[in-house]
Amino acid sequence: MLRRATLTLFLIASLAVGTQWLPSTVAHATRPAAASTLTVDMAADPVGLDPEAVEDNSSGFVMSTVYDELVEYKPGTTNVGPGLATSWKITNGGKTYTFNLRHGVTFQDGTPYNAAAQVLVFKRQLDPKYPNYVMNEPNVQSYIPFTFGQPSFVKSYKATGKYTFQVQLKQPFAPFLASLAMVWEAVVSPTAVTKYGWKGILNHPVGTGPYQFVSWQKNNKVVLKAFPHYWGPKPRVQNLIFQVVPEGSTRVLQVEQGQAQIDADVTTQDYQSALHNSKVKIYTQPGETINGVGMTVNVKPFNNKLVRQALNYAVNRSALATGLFKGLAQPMNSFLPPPIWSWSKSIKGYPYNVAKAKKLLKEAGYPHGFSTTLLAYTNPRGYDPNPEGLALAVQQELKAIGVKVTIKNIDFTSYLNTIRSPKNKGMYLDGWSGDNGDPDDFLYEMFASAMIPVGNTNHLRDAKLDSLLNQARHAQKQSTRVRLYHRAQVVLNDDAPWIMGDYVKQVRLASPSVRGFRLNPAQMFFNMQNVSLGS
Amino acid sequence: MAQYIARRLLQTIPLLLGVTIVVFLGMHVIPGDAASAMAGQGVTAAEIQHARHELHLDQPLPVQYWYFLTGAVHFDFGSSLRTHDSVMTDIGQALPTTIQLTIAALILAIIIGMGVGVLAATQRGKITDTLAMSIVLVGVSMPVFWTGVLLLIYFGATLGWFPIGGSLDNSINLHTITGMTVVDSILTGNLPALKSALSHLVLPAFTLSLFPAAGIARMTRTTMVEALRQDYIRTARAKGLGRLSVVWKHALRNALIPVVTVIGLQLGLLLSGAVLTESVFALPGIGQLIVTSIQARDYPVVQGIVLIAASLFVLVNLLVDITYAYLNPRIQYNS
Repeated sequence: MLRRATLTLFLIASLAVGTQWLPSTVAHATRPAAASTLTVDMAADPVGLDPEAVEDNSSGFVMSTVYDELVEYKPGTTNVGPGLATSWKITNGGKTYTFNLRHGVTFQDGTPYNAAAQVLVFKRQLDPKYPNYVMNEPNVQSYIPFTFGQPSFVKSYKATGKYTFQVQLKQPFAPFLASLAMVWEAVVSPTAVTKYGWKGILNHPVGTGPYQFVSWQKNNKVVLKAFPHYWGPKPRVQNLIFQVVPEGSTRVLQVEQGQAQIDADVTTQDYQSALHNSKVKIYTQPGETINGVGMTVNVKPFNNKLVRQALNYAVNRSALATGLFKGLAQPMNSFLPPPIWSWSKSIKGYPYNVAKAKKLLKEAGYPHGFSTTLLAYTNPRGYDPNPEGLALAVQQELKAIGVKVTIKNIDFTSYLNTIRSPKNKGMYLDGWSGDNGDPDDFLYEMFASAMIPVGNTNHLRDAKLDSLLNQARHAQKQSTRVRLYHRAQVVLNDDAPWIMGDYVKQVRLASPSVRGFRLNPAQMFFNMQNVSLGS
Repeated sequence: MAQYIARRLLQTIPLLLGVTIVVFLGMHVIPGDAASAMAGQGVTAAEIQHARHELHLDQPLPVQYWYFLTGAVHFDFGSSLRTHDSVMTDIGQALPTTIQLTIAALILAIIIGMGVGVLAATQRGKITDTLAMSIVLVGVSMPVFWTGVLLLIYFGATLGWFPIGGSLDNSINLHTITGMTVVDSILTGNLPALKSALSHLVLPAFTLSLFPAAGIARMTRTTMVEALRQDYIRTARAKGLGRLSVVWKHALRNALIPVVTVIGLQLGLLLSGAVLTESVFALPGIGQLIVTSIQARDYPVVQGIVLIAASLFVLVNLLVDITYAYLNPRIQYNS
């Protein structure tokens, strides 16, 4: 009897302790988020908030709300339009850029923005003698070489008036303007850089954007608030929080329950369950992404073009799009994705044709197929949310033509280290996410022989392709570039350095109360000043 | 006793040194380093090599280890290769969250484990015993990342009793003193913060407590059954002592020594379980930090965390050994 009493007492005590919290927690869970706070969930903590010193997505998400760029992508596109420069002229055979800067813009620390400030922004990236030169410190991950060339093709830059900024290039470089619109070329307050030092900016971002930095609890959340003196439309939401929530299902539950309003990193499973969930709204947009299986062209049997082409005919890309990527993808027909200008639907890809695949293999001297290893990684990527699935699917498809694939799975960092090494050999998962909306970012970066071995992991050397790509990056007329890239895509498809996969769409989830939210191919949170919260 | 403690503390030095060597070598055996972990696009081989040189990653391993060791002795683990923050700052910010979670989980594990174990032992052979041990089996078998998500879905989303992850409501301003939300709320007298901190702690602590609770329950049951069989228990009952006194004061105290050992060992499990729990419940602790750091090959952070975790483990087990002497005065540590 005493035993029973003890047990009963224990249970009552637990209930008493537990229920005491219920009213407040129930109230909390069902109380809608305050209309002036919008919370965005992301899978990882930013590395830092200095645009010229980091390259990871989470950092980009936050920075795209705090900073502006000299020029900016028009909403939802990769076409370049005005930013902190209202207009510009490209003269002197594509070598001189003259920007007219916006008047009346201030940084969040009160520093006025003008040509003198813009000069310092460039100096920080290009002048090794400048005390605040960002490359002074080790392991700075930066798009500076990408934007300005390595060695830099910038001859000079100066203020030619209070609000005019001029850049002289050594030779015309067509993707230059598109690169300046990236979040990685955002404009940082020179006063803040001097005050905090480059390391300080990593933790204290100061820009001209709609939201200003309040605080950052590492691995937890970055808190921002509306910048009252923003030069553009006043932000409709007062507080913006970027929250770190590593687990996909937790992010979705938070959006459902109103603890967050946007899920920035949506897995394929979360997308599938969201299709039947009225509490979340799905946003999709074709991404600047491609995926597939790379092959190094300097080893047998992949040194034979017929083999590479055969493998392309053996893979059913439409089935991958529906089965593997759950409808969130479309088959690749070229090494440029649809949102990039100069991509064309008319470019001939590789239709699914097992008979043709077998025929080509026979012609190449492998009538009974061959054995090979496929290096795969485990972490989902924006361009491939299901890498293990893709590897398995390709393995199965190639079995039908006698090619025996053994999959080797390693973590992403080890994989990257392996494929970027000069000794990279064989088959490996591959993919790419564009950064500046320019075809050069895809085709030159990955397939020009100058980019072997880190960018060009296939070790492809095609002189005709190199010539087309080099001409295209220095051409001045858009129509010329379109023509050159069209030919380059045809040549590259014939070279078939990859088994082409799919173009995967970008996905975000949001609460139905979110209004004015729009995705963009760069995946960043541009134009958050237009977002509001309805009831 | 003091001599014993001093001797044990001295013994931790070679032990921790061994730990650092194992971790250091382990990290360097994995392919890739922080320089090549630069997943950025348009990076050239020259840039990777430059970064490697700046970070001393092209030095021979013993040299790199020496840099690390000389710093560690001054509690200076250098800077994170990823964020450039001081490693001690990074760890210092994350550690309190994990400590709070671990302590809460351990307390729950002891209460649940010992409660279930005593119940099963006193009801040995009856249906309550079978039921209790079956629940224990389920607790041991379910992985933390599965239990956690289930609890979030049911108690968080469906019933709305608890928040979905996080450590504190975003609307609450809490002044940070220790970094542990519950402790800081109490120290600053912030009642709304305390309520929020506790409601955020319940589900993750409960999830994390299940596995250790199972181990504690089994050991408690076994040792209690043994203790309850002893002659002195029969004597106590014959003397007319109440059931509560017999079970809790006499039997349990003597059954506790193996149980305390198990509790000490559970700390290791709790620290590793914290990695998964923190991930599911979005808690900014060292579990999350170490996973991110391993993926980025951020050696200084990984080494710092492992060294601190190993030190904690050693310290807790020392405390466990000291507790034996309190529990059983016959145990002496004088050499």
